[in-house]
Formats: sequence, C-alpha cells, structure tokens
Amino acid sequence: MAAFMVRRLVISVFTLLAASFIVFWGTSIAGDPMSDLRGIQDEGDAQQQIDARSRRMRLGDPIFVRYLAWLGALLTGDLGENKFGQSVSGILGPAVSATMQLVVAATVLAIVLGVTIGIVSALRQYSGFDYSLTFAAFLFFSLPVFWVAVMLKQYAAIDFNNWLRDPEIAVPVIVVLGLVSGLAWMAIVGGDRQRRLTSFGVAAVVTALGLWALSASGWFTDPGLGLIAVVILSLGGAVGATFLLAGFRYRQPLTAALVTAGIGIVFYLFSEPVLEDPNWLMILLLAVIAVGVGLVVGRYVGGIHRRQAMPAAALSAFFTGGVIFIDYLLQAYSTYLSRVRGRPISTIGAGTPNFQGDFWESGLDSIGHLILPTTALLLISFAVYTRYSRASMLEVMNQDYVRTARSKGLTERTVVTKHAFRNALIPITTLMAFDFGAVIGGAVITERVFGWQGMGHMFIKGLQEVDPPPVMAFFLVAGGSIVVFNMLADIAYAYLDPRIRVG
Amino acid sequence: MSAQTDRSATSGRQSADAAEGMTVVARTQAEIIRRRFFRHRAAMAGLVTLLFVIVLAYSSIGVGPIPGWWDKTYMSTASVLDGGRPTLSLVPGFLGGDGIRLGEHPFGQDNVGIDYFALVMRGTQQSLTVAFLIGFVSTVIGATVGATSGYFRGRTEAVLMRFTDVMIAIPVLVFAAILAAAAGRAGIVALGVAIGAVTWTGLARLVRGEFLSLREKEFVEAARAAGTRSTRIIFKHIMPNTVGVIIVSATLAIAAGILLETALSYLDLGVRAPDVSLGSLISRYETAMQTRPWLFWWPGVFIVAIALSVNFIGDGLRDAFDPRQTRVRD
Amino acid sequence: MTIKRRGVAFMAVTAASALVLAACGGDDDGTTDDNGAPDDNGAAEDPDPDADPGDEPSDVVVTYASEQEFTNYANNTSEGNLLANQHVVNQVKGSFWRYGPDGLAHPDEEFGTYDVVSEDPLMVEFNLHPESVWSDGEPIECLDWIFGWAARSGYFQHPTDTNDEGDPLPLFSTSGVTGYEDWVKPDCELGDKTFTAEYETPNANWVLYAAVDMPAHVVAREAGMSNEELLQAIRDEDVDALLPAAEFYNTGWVMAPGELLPEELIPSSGRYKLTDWQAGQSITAEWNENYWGTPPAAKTIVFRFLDQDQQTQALDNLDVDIIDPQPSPDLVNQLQGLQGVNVHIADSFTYEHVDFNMRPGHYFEDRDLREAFAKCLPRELIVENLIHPVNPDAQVLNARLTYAFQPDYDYQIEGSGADAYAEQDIDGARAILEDKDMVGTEVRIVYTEANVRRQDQVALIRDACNEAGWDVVDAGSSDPFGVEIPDGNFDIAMFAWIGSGYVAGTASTFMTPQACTAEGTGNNNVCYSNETVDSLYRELLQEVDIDAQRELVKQIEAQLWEDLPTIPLFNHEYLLAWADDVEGVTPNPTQHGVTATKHEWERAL
Repeated sequence: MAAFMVRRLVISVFTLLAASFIVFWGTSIAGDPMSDLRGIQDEGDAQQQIDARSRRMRLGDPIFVRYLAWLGALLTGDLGENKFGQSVSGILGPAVSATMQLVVAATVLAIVLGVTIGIVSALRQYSGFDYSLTFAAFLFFSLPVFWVAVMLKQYAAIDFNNWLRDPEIAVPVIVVLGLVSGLAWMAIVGGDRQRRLTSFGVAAVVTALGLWALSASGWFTDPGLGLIAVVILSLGGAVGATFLLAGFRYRQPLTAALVTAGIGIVFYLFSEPVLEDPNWLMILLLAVIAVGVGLVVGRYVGGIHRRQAMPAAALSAFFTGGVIFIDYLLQAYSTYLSRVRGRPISTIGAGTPNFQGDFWESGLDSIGHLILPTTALLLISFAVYTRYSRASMLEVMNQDYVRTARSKGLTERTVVTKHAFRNALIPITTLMAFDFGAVIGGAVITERVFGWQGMGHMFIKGLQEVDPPPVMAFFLVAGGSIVVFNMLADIAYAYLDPRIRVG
Repeated sequence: MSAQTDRSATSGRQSADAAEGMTVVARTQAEIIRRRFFRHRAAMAGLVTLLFVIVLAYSSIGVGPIPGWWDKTYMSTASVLDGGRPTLSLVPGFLGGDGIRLGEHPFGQDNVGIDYFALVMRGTQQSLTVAFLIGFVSTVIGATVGATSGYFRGRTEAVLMRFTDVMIAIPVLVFAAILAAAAGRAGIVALGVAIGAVTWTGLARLVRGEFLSLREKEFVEAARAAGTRSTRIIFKHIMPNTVGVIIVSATLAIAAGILLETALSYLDLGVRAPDVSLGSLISRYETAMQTRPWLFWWPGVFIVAIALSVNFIGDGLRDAFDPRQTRVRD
Repeated sequence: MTIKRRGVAFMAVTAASALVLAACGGDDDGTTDDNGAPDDNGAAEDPDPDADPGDEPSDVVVTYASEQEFTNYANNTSEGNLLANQHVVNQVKGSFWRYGPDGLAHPDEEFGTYDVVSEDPLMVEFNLHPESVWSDGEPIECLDWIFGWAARSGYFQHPTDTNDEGDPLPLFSTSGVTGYEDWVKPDCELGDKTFTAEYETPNANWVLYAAVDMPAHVVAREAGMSNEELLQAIRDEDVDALLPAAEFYNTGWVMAPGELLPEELIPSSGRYKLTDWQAGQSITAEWNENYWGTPPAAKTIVFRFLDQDQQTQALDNLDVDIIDPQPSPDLVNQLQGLQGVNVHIADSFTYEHVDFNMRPGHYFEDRDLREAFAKCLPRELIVENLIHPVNPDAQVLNARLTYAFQPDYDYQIEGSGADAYAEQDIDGARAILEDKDMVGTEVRIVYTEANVRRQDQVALIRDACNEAGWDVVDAGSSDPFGVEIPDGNFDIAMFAWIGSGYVAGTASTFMTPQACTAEGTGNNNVCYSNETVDSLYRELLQEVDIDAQRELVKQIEAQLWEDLPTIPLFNHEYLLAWADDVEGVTPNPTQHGVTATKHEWERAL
C-alpha cells in the first residue's frame, strides 16, 4: 500500500508539472501584454513603461526559458510578480480565502439540500414530487450561471430591496404562493386522493394565511420570531428529530427530545446577557453544550431506549439552538436595515466596506452579501447532488439486504435511515472529490458576476492581461487540489474495493 | 460487468410485455432500446423540441448561400422601429391582446436595426455547431483513448492514462479558456474542436473501465483464440457493448458543451464578434435587461431550451440502455 | 449619540453647500473649476487658505466603483503608473495642480502656488503653503521637491542594471522623464518652502512639472539615512549612497491586495488619507485631520472594486454611488432608465483616426491616393450610426491636435482645409483612382479585433469606399501593435490616441521618425515626414506664450490637412453616472478622472 501511494504521489507531481507548462504556454500566447499601454500619445513615457514591463516579464526570452525561470523561483517558494510588480503570493492569499467563503457555503448547502431532496425524491419515485424535481434538476443543469445571476440581481436584490420600502404582499401573489405550496406538499405527502386533497388544502390555506399575517403586521420591516414562535418551532423540531432518529413506538425518546427543547426555551428566556454580542467561538461552545445537554437528557430520560433517545435529544437541542440563533439575527435586522439605507440584499462584494456592528449585525451583513452568489452556485451543484443521491438511493433500495431488512419486519423508517441511507451516501462522497473542478469553474463565472475578486477573478484577469504568474498561482491551487483529490479517490477506492489490484 | 445479464433480464421482461398481446415477437437488442427510448415521454418531448429548434434555426435564415424563408438576414441593418421592440404577439384578440402574429420583427431589433430574430437564429446555428462539434470531438477522442488503453493495457495504457491525468489536472473551464483565447479568433470550428479536445477525459475513463472488464470475457477470449486482429476485436466485438455508455456520454457532452461555450463567450473568450453565438448575445446584452429585456431573454430561452432537451434525451437514452434505474420498486 | 451626530452633520452640510455652489458656478463656462482659472496667474476664487480649522467634513460615505484594484502608492514609477492608482491617490497625495475637465492643469492653491519668474531662461518658482505638512507631522519642503526631480528625471543611472542593449537603466523607476529631464539640476536647503526650477530649454508645458509627489523623509528613513544625507547624496550625485533609497522608492510602495502599508510609510499630503483596504473589495480614504486647508465635504470616500459589467446594477442597488464605465448604447439607455440617477455623457480625451501607411514603396506614399481614400470615408455616417446612440451631441472630428469640445476648436479648424473633406465625395475619389489607374486596389485595414464598434466602422468604410473603387479588406488582428503596425504590414491602421489638453504629446506622432523601422518609428506609425511640420513642432515645444502656441498649432493642423497622413474620425465618449443624492460630482474626462475632485463629493441628507 505504501509503495502504491508513493508511486501515485510521484506520478501526480509529474502530472502537475506537465500540466503547468501547458497552462504557462497557453497564457503566454494569449495576446498582447502591453495592450493597456498602446495608444498613449506621449511616446517617450509609454515606451519607457513598455520597456520596463518587457524586462520584468522577460519577454526577450523564449517561453520555455521563462517557464523554467518561473519554475526555479517556485522551488524556492517564490510565486513571482504580476506585471504591475505586485507579489503574487500576496494576491493569492486573500483570493483563496474569498473563493473559499463563496464555495464552501454553496457546496455545504448543495450537499445537505441536494442529498435530502434526492433521497425523498427516490422514496417517492414516480410521484408528482419526483417528476417536478427531476424536471427542476434538469432545468438547473441547463441554465447558464451568469444568466441566472443577472436575473437574481435584478429580482432578488434590486426589486426586492425596492419592495422593502413598502413591504406589502399583494393578494394575487399570496394566492399563487399558497397554491404552489399546496401542490408541493401534496406531492411530498402523497397517499390516496383524500389524503392528497387534504394536504393540498391545509398547506395552501396555512401558507396564504401566514403570508397575509406577516404582510399585514409589517413583519418584513421589523421581523423576529418572538417567544411563541420559538416555542412552537422548538417543540416541532423535537417531534421531527424523534421521527427521524427514533420513531414514536416508544415514549422515552420523544420525552427526551421535548425535555431538551424545553431546556432550550428556558435558556432562551435568560439568554440576553450571553447572546447580546457573542463571537463565533462562543456560539460554537454553546452548540457543543447544547448537544451535550441533549445527550445527557437522552441518557437519563431515555432509560432502556437511550440509544435512540440520545441522538434524538441531541438533534432536538441543536435545532432549538438554531431557532434561537435565527431569532437573535432577526432581532438585529431593523438596526442593520437602517445602517444600509434600507437595502439589505447586496449585488456585489463580500461585505459593506468599513462595516462595524455587533456579532448579529455583521452576521446579517455577511448573509446579505453571500445570499445571491451562494444561490447561483447552489442551483447547479444542487441539481447534481439531487440526481446522484436519487439514483444511488434507488440502487440501494433494490439491493437484497434491504429486502432482507424489510422481511425481518423492520419499519420503513428504520430500513431507510439505518440500512439504506448510509450505503447510498458512499458514491456521493466520491462525487464530492470529483466535483471540485466543476466548482472552481463555476466560481470563475460567479465571482465575475458578483464582483468578487477571488481566485477565479485572478485567473481570468491574468489570462486577459497575458500575465502568466497569477494564472500559474491559480493553477497551482486549483490543479493541485484536483490532483490531490483524484489521488485520494484512487487510494480510497483501492482501500475500499479489494477487487481493484494495487500495483 | 453485469451488462450481459442485464440485457437478458430486460429482454425477458420485454417478452413478458409482448406476451400480453398473446403473440411472442422476437426483437433485436436495438429494437428493444429504440422502443424503450420512444416510450420515454420526457426524452421524446426533448427530441421534438430539439428538432424544432434545429429546423427553425436552419430553415429560417438558411445556411451559407442557401436562403431561408425569413426575409431578413442577421447582417443587414435597417432603421430601428418603435425602439426595436418585438412585434411578436401571442395573446389573442379576444383576451385583450394584439392577436397572434409575428409582425415585422418578432424578437425586436438590436442597436443598428438588425432583425433580432435573424440574429438569434444565427446565434443558435453557431451554438449548435459548437456544441455538436464538442460532443463529436470529445466522444471520438475519449472513446479511442479509453478503448486503446483499456484493451492493450501495459505501456500503452500507462502513457495514455498519464496523459489523461495531465488533462484532468487542468480544470475544464480553465483549459478551455486558455485554448479559446488562442482558438476563438480562428472561428467557431476551431473553438469547438479545441473545447472538444479538453473535455474527453471523463468518457475515456468510463470506456477504459468497460474495456478492462469486457476484455476478460469469454467471447473476447474466443475471438482472440480464433486469431482475430486487435482492431477488429476492439471495434467489432467490444465497442458495441460499450455503445450505451458512449452515446449517453456524448449527449451529455453536447449539453455541457453548449453551456461551456456560453460561459466562455460571457468571459469574452468564446465566439468573437462579428460572429455571434447565443452566449455572446447574452453577454452583449446583459446590461439591456431592464431597458430592452427581449435582447437578454431570447438567447437565454434558446440556450435553456437546447440544453434542457438534450439533457432529457440523454436521460431517456440512459434509461433505454440501462433499465435498472427505471425499474419500479415492488 | 444620534442627535450629536446629526448636529455635526448639519454644520458640515452648510459648509459643504458653499463648496458645491462654488463648483457649480465654476462649471458654467466649462473652463474653470472651484480652485481658479486654468492659467497660472493665481487669480483666485479659491477657498480661503486660512479657513477655520475647526470645520469638519460631514460624517457620510460616498462610494465610487473602480474596475481595477489599487497596487502602488508611488504611481509615477513605471510599475505604479496605472489610472486605478492615480484615482486612489488623487487628493491623498497633494499636488500643485490637477487636471480640470478641460484637460488643463488647474492649480490647487491650498497646496501651494507656482509661476514663471523668468522667460529666458525659463524659471519657475514654487511656493508651498507655509503650513503644509505630511499627515505624520513632517513639513512638506525642499527635500520632497528635489527628490521628486531626482526620481522622475532619469538623471541618475543605475550602476549595474542594464537593458537588453546594454544601456544602463535609470536608478529610480519612472513612468516618464518628459519635462523633468529639461531641468537644470535643482538645489535648495532643507526646510525651504520656496524654491526655483530652471529649464535648460524652454518648455511649453512647464505647468505640468512640479515634482513634489512622494514623502522624501520616508525614503530617507527606510534607506537608513538622515534627510541631510539624502539631500547631500543627490547634490553629490553619489549613486552608491542613493542605491538603498532607490531600492525603496522602486519597490517599497508596491502593495499586495489588502495589505495597506502602515501609516508611517504612506503619509498623506492631501485632504484624505488611506485607512483601510479589503483585498478585492474596497479601499477607504478618510479625512486627513492634519490637512491645513479647507476640509473635504465628505469624511469618507470608499472605492469598491467592481467589473464594469456589474457597475450598473450595483448603482441601481445603491451599492455604489458613482460609476464611470465604458459607454455603450445599452448602458446609456439603461442608466437613463434608472430612477434617481444622474447621467453625464460627453467627449473624452481619446480620438479615433485612420492612418495611411506612408513607408517608402507603399502606394499611400502618393498624396493623391490618400486624398482618394479620405474622400470616400463615411465619417458622417460613422458618427450618426455608431456614436449618436451613445452621445447624441457627437460630431465628426476635424482636428488632430485639438478636441472638438475644447474652446479653441473652432478657431483651430477654421481655414485648416478640413472642410474639403467635410462632405463624402465618392465620385471625386473614383475620379482620382481612375486617373491613377488604381481601381480595385486592395486596402487592408488593421485594428484590434474583439471591438464590435471598430468592426462596424470597417463595415461602413468598406461599403462606402468599395463604391469608389477601392477593395477594402477587414484585417482585424489580436495584436496589431505588437505585430502588424511595427512591421509596416498594413495599408491603413485604425485606432485611437489617448491625449490630453496639451498638444506637445502629439509631436512624436507627426515629427519625422528616426527611421522607418519597427524600432525607429515610435508613435509615428505611418512614417510621415515633413520638414515644415518638424520645425513648427520644434518651435512649439519651447514656446511658453499661450497665444503663440495657438498660432503654431493652427499652422501644424493646416499642414496635416494638406498632407493627410492621418484622418481624424470622432471623439470617444465619456460616461459618468451617479446617485442623485450625491452632490458635488464634477465630470472629468482626463486621466485624473472624476476622482480628481473627490473632496467635493457630498451626500444630501
């Protein structure tokens, strides 16, 4: 195994080396590196700059010599300078962190949402929900990212912000949204005609009434959950967590989850001093404590069923914490709104320049800036993950061991969550490794549309300015991670699947 | 690996279907696949849409010297009427609309009065050309590289797979952007070939995997024992068994290709003016979304229509070749 | 807290509106700004230099969209010479002058005054404001001025580094030595606020060369010298002693994105100082509280880095307040359709033209053939079809040395011979071609491809001139300045010159080149040569008197219309848009840009 890994590593290094020359050469012949200096009539001055730049970029040497020089410097840890004399390593750092901010949120959300919905869709195969989702996934596959992005900026930012000046939802909109919600729930719940009609009616009426109430009470100018909503959501979360992880056959898990949620609500009532202006460390600590409390409660309330009760209570605690978190964010909303001139959704950038606010206001600022690019990136990855997890789940559900589990008399919930779900996830994990190249490609476009100057911007700018060092730095990071991911995938395969020969 | 067994299983089911009609009809594998494909409703809808778009694009403004039925060209300027607004109306008179009519400029006009319908049709032609070229080139290279390395193994495989690794190390969009920066100005054929030449790696790996398992099968063994030449074994004996993978992958490459070309044109690296593609049209009129929305919407609608229908066709093909995913549980 | 802030803001608004009114008043005649007349006599309607230092700017933020990120505080080095850097340092590094909207240097008399004290030899005396200090408290003085000259003049040569031909490189990196190279080596004493520059030969554009730019005391400190030692090294021409100083000057102010140097390295001498830089996002300039004169209107100016394509929607969403993207018809339409946005469209200091290849042996050496092409050029149609959708007021440009929007334009074209080509004359063109038996001659128009408008221009020219008997070929190239034009591999080159309000820059375009080779032609791509033009230019470059300059320019222009080496087509457009709650925005099509007067920007509350 060790020999295999070493061999793989050596090959990867040579792979990267060959690829890097292709990229260097391609960038060097992409056009005129002086184009920004052409046409300046004061000849002496422009010529002076052209000469200086030509020296800095070593344009007198053949491309291969320039490549070797770059490579030589790289071996000493020097990424070189761009054509304006800036150190490329200095540019790379912030660029990588910007791209990571953009990509990580979108990827995590895409995985969570995509896998969940893909699996639900597989369990409801050939339902209206499944068909609509398949169609939606293909539609998202087929959308040019920037086309969507331009629309998002227009409708979800500019028009939405304009609407916020006088936030009232018109009656026809309420009706349409109600109908849409009814149809969606009808498809998800499924069942016979009576059950479908009931779910449709209930969902449509609840949604419409809810929207009307929010609109009429001016919720959009000063949103918040308040105690009642926090209580309802937390208890609902406790029931949901129990359903997912334990089931209702026994009483103890549900009790444990509800007790945990209750503790969360009590904490909420006295949380003001702790949560007035926390930091991420404290939030993390609170999350850990919450999960710990859940586990302890599950341990003691769960009794003989503690193996189901503990995770259910922990999830319930985590969910309650999330509700409280959102409540605090929303409380800061009206202050934040006044600080950004009433326009919370931004079309560009990662944050309001020089924005200084407490934890919650800064959090809202980040959300307001991240929401559009994340959505744009999300749509495409989401489609991929939905399709793959649906296919994978269908495959697993047809396996013999699932049939065996069913024939043992296990409930459908146990079969799905305990036996099928985990095995369906295995192909998805490898998909994540291979998806990286696509994510980087998507980031190049998304960064451009939303005015982020991350790695994608660095690459495109470098290519357009015929400036190899920044392009090469981008390639080292992007190509390097692709090679590493591929190598990890190979090794993991060899490790997981004994049928693949090593060596 | 399980292709053989699957095929027999499905033909078994097909005969069962046929048995309902009280007669047993012998069908070839190809017939079965065709029938399955034509029953895939989404795929058929996709096929019809795609054919409609292709016929519309090529018949309306014609190809090269052959004129089409639309009386305006994508080159000739005219005075801009009514701010270049589209004259297409789909709302019938009794609903308070202008009645269903095409009018003079159904999609409106651009800055210098070029008929936007003709321009979008031209863009569609060019985008289709690029997309199909990408699909074709990447399929040919991918299948050849995959087949050769999977069949011969040893040194050939090592060299080809290392080469594939090098290609994979460079993100597709990045590679395509770099090539397009050089090839874009050489015209759309060069662009299509260049992009096709960097997007074949996934298929090569798939085909290689199929070949690795198929070359160990008895029928290949038998052919080899009979002294059949390698090329004949590859193309006559093994390739037909991988055709499903290849066709599905080619379809998806076309869908991905049209989006990749669009993305490159948006980054000013794809089709260069004065030539147009759907991507370059959107890119050019991105800022017109509020003032002259039709300039922004129409090319987008055509891109989505093409990509969506090609994706559905690919889905239908996959189901037709590999029916496991469509089998209803219980 | 809120109440207090409002009180301050109200006072500041009152102060600022006075400034705004002054700015508006200055705009009316288009030749002056709030700081006085373009000429140098110091006739001042400028703000009182001894303004009450208790004034404070109003506590508002005005945001400008910049396409390129900041790179370098030393924006007069060859690395740092980018418009993006210029726009950031405007009003951060103080200056004796800045470009006004008319393309002329407008003195900033709060910084100091300067004027000609002797015409033969030409001597210019500079007087810094007595209270002028860098934001770290050090006075702005003689050393800054003399070091500015040393750095910009190319006077010192590097002891070891050479270029490819083996010639030594300048010790200090410089974006250009024009002007400063003509100074007699200057001298002054540490602490002087008054000093005099003497020119070896008179220079028509002396007003552009004032030298004070970077903080010399920082250079000295970073080079490990005292201010005296630095001054002495310059006096003694001690290159070895100057090496560390040059090292720092050339590279020490280059910054990686987001890594703003500490304040002691980048002290400000203007109304703002740089305080924050988020890589790829924004750079912030705050009021420099040590500024001695009138404080700026807004306390904070933010530059947000943003691609042009994204600027319109960002303005619509008020993520930014001021944008100046490349104009296009849709952009202009869209901006004009936005609520609450002011749009300004005018001419810029860039003009489009066609050049005839006049290298020996080329058929365009024959003046008559150039005339035959000039006659068929559809200049009116090009402007009508391609420019009017953006700028309805645009006209055909009839001069090469003067821009159509400058006050002197009418005087310059009157009787210049331009009117002979005012009307397209296809028949006249055809007659010449037939007479010369050149009908069907191929004309390859070379230009930078990937420019839709130029492609349209070629299409229009082709339609018109083919009718006259030419055979025009679209020869767009990806790198015309690197390949076709230096090699002389073109019949006609079509591109734009970026100029300024000063005509001296055009000399290299029309004076006889060193040689008709790739290296020798310089800006005179077409290899035009005329002794009259040469001698007129030699005279013009040394003429200090403005009226005499005008006459010389007029004579050169007339000779160029006689010889037809190039034909001007039109002015490129300048586009500026800003949210209408922002006041004090003065459009400025020069290289200093709208940010030249960022200290007047103010948000109405």
